[in-house]
Amino acid sequence: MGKIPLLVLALLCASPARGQSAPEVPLPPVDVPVPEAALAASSVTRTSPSGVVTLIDTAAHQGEAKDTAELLAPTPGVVLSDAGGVGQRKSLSLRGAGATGVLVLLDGIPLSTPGSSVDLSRIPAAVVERIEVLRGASSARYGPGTLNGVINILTHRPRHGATLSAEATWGSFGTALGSLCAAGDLLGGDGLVMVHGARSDGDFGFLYDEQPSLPNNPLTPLVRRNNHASGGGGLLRYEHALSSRLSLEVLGEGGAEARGLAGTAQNPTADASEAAGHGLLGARLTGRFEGGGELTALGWGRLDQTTLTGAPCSCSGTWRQVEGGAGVDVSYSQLVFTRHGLSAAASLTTEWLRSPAASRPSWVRAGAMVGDEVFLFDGALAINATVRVDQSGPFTGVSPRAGALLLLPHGFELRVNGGQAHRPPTFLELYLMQAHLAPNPRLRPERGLSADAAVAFRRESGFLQVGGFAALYEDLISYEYYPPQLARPYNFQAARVLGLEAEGTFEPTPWLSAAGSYTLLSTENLKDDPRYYGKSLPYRPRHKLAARAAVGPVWLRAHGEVLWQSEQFTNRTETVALASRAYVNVGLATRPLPLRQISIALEFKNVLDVQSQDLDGYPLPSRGAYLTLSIATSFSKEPHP
Amino acid sequence: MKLPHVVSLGALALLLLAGCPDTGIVCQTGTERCGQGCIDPTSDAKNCGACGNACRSGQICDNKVCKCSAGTTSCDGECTVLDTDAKHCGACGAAGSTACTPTQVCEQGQCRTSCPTAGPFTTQCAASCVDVTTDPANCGGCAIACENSQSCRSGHCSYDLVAACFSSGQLVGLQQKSEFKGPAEPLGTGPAALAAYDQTVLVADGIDQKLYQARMRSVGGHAFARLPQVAATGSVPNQVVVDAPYVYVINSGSGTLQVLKKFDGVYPDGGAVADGGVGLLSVAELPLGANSYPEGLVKVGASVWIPLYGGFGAAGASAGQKVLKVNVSNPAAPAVVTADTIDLSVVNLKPFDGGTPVARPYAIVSHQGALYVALNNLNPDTYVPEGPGLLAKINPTTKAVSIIDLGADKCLNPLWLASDGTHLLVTCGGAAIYNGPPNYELVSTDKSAVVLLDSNDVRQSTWTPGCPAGADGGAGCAPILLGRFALSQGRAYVGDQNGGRIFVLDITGNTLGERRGYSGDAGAAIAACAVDPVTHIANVGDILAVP
Repeated sequence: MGKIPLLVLALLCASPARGQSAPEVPLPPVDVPVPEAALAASSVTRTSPSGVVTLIDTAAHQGEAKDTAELLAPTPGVVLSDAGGVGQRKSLSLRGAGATGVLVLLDGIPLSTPGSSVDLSRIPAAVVERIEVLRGASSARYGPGTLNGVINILTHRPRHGATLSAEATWGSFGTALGSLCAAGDLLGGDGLVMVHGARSDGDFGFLYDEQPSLPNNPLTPLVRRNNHASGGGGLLRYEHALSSRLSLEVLGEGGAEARGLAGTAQNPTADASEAAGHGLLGARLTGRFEGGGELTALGWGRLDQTTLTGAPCSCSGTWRQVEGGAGVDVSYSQLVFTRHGLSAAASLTTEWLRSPAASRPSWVRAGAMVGDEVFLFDGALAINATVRVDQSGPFTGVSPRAGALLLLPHGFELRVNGGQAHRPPTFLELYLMQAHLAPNPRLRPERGLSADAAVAFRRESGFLQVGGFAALYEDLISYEYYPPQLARPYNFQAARVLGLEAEGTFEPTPWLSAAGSYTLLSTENLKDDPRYYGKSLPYRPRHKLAARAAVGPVWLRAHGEVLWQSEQFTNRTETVALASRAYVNVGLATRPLPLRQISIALEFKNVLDVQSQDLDGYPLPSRGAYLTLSIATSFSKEPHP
Repeated sequence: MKLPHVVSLGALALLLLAGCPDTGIVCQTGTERCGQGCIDPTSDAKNCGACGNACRSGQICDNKVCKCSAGTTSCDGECTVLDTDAKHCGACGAAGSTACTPTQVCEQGQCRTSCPTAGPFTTQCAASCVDVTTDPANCGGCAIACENSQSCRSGHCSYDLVAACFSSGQLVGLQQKSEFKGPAEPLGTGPAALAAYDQTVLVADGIDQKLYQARMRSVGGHAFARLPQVAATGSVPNQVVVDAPYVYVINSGSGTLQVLKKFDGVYPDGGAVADGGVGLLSVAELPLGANSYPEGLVKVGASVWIPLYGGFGAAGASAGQKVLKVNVSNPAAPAVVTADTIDLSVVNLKPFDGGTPVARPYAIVSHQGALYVALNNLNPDTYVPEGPGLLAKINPTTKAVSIIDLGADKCLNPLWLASDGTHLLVTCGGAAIYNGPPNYELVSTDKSAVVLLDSNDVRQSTWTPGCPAGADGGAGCAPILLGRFALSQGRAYVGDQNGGRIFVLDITGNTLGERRGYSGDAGAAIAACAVDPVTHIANVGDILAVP
């Protein structure tokens, strides 16, 4: 049995979302090779030997008009920050690490400079096939910027044979989305081309408190303005087996978006807008050697452009910023001494930024990793250790990590994991004078020490995993007032994060499935003056609960889901808070028996019309309805060899 | 050893050696650890210069040195008041040489048989004739001594001035006569605006969005103990005005005028007003409009006048650039008098060449029957001054507006203003100058000043702050960024938003003279708010002259 099919098997078995059929793309830079005996005895993912991973299959949510952020929202440990509306900024934090401490990859290619946050609204759900959420310190494998996790977004891959699919969605607030995808044999390999587009007026109604200091005063109904968004783009993928031992994958992804920046409810910005474009190109060459070794080389380039107009840039006219990067990752893995899976990787990256500010920052990032996973007791116990050293511009980071996976009888597993991670300051924090934010070139990288342990139980009909984690962060960067009208980042705090995560799925019959997750997150400032010491970090709700159930045969299936999160503080002194919120979404999808290529789905979001807001005064959409029509057909006669 | 073992052991060793972060409570800026608490060694008489180094009775701690407090003289190693001390009555002579007899009392430095029956010094405390309304040793009654450098004001111990240290979350008191500073006391997170209500200081906290209260009187060596009465404000409360029993708060971020009312004894829900604070409840909150960003207010008669600064960018700015009149004849139901709105978008802002500024009205004051509004006169997008510092003078009856040019040669970006009845004083923040990449640090301000206008609104005097001359602009002298100020007894106390200093200016006739600064004759500027060791910032957010 070859390694790739084995990996696929392992991943599929590990996924909490059942019924997945997509082939696997391993997380970069390298997967640890596994003895056949060990893997045969194991039914867990090799993506992260001992880390906690949630896999999200977009096929399970087809027709639900979800964007990438919504797909991630139920994942344990994930907290979304949402500016409100289709196409408006959305970012996420993991296990209490801020949005800048989470590395987001697209098919293994970083979507931003390490340490920067990624706007998930720029990744249309149409191109996404799967999402892997790896929680815990991950710098030892993925380099800097992974203070407490990695999100790897996997785009659609070409299948053997020709397929054509299209999807269109219409809904509330002038929302329309569409995509067209074609795949088939191309130049002796498999190719896929997708184009997509979306628009939304974003003009939802909301209730606004004009008198915040008065309790129980009546709220004022308002409509969100300048909250529109539109965009489009494409995805190109090509895979070709150059020989029996050498394969090539090519990825191209790009798009352009424009959106109004509505500002806060209390002080909206009528003239602010943002236009952005991005492009990404990558090629991966994988070679397998007779001795069992595997060499992977990934080359990539990325370009992002953002133009701000109006209030947010505090500039005359417009503010245009271009960010780019290019890199090469090479990894090699081999099983040695029958029970050691050795892996090594090296990467070299250049990243740069151009903006109206005089500064033109750029740096070279180099990293090297070596790892070993030893398999004992016929693979029932796997112990892994990895060390990575990175030089990111002026910052050096050493990231050790160790973990273990123990397979127990009756479908139980035990994982433990611990490591150190780093987040270098971003270009913005270090070098750029932008709007009301001043840089600070004297910043130090943030450092995180974390450990977690989880117990999992798997059965044919379901999966349950419960775990706990703890993290200590050092030199956390936060913006402070800088006179007369600016804010500036400084290394201030140390913080502690403790939490529990539970997730599970249950599918007793093909027409009934349920899934749920819960996160308990406790944060505490451990180094500060009495104003802040011992207080929670802002924007970290203590509790988050997601539950989902689907019932019905494939030709008529209904689902409902609840997303609840508790109150969260918006400042460091626990004196100002966002209220808790619970969103209920329901939907109905049908695939008429005579026309199995067609599916029609109706989705009602926020059916209870909960009025809520995120960040510092950004209302979230009110109740809405969305209709999705999907068509897919296959022209394949014989599978590609 | 096999290579895999080296890898594993190496990773484990590094993990073990990684080390935990340095944690623990950190004393607030300007204070240092002393036992289980934090002390301000510059001004704490119990810990003067160092933890546990207590000054003797009657002494205060000034800049880490124990000294006799204002109005006292050192006699035989004791600080004594020669006007009232029967052992040293009128003079500090040799032992017993100036002592009154056991049957005598000391009154204004004279030994007498009894205290007078008329005049201020009618109260006999031991062998002293004192004025309990002003005597710090017998304030409000015999043997009730004011601590630290507090004065006795109408029989209550209090500092004469209070400064809010926004960045460090502290209040600092000053005694006017001696210019001694009291210890920095923690209060809230970001104290932004101050007001006095009886013997309580009201503190609008810009970060916590609360209206805190603190006791003026120092007890146990510490003033400004936070009282349990706390009221919620809107976001970015920027000015507090007391007109008992009402308190007006302008919330800049929320764009509202908030009205609170004092309740005596019990709250409507039955809760008691505890510990001498002021029971305040919000009775009204008037929305002033999206993007209005009101920054100040003044109450004249039954009206409150509020300048609207306007929001970010040109579109946001258009929501401001006016002064609203709000009818508060019934404070619980304030209402905008739309017909009396003063439009400042049409005034001549005297733009520099190529400039397209907007007025950006900030502070407002009533002076000689007119309203005066400080106009920042900035580009709406970049906030760079694009015209001279201006004031809008408004006739509240006719609504007529005239513009007073403070002079671009001396003043850009006027921020705060106050009247002493005769003169009008204005602080000009100037144009902030940052050095270029990579640091982008504030290095200086251009056309920063305090301007004095006479009763005819003519600029008669200016004071321009400056660090000592030197190649580096004065080692250890942080750039000066003038902000709010208070007037008291012929002096202006001007806060610094960058270095935490208070500059003291004498107002003599129509002239401003530096008293405490880098060239003043009474010493350096008062280091009111300590500089944060990380940010190197100390921000005097507001200064209150205790009425």
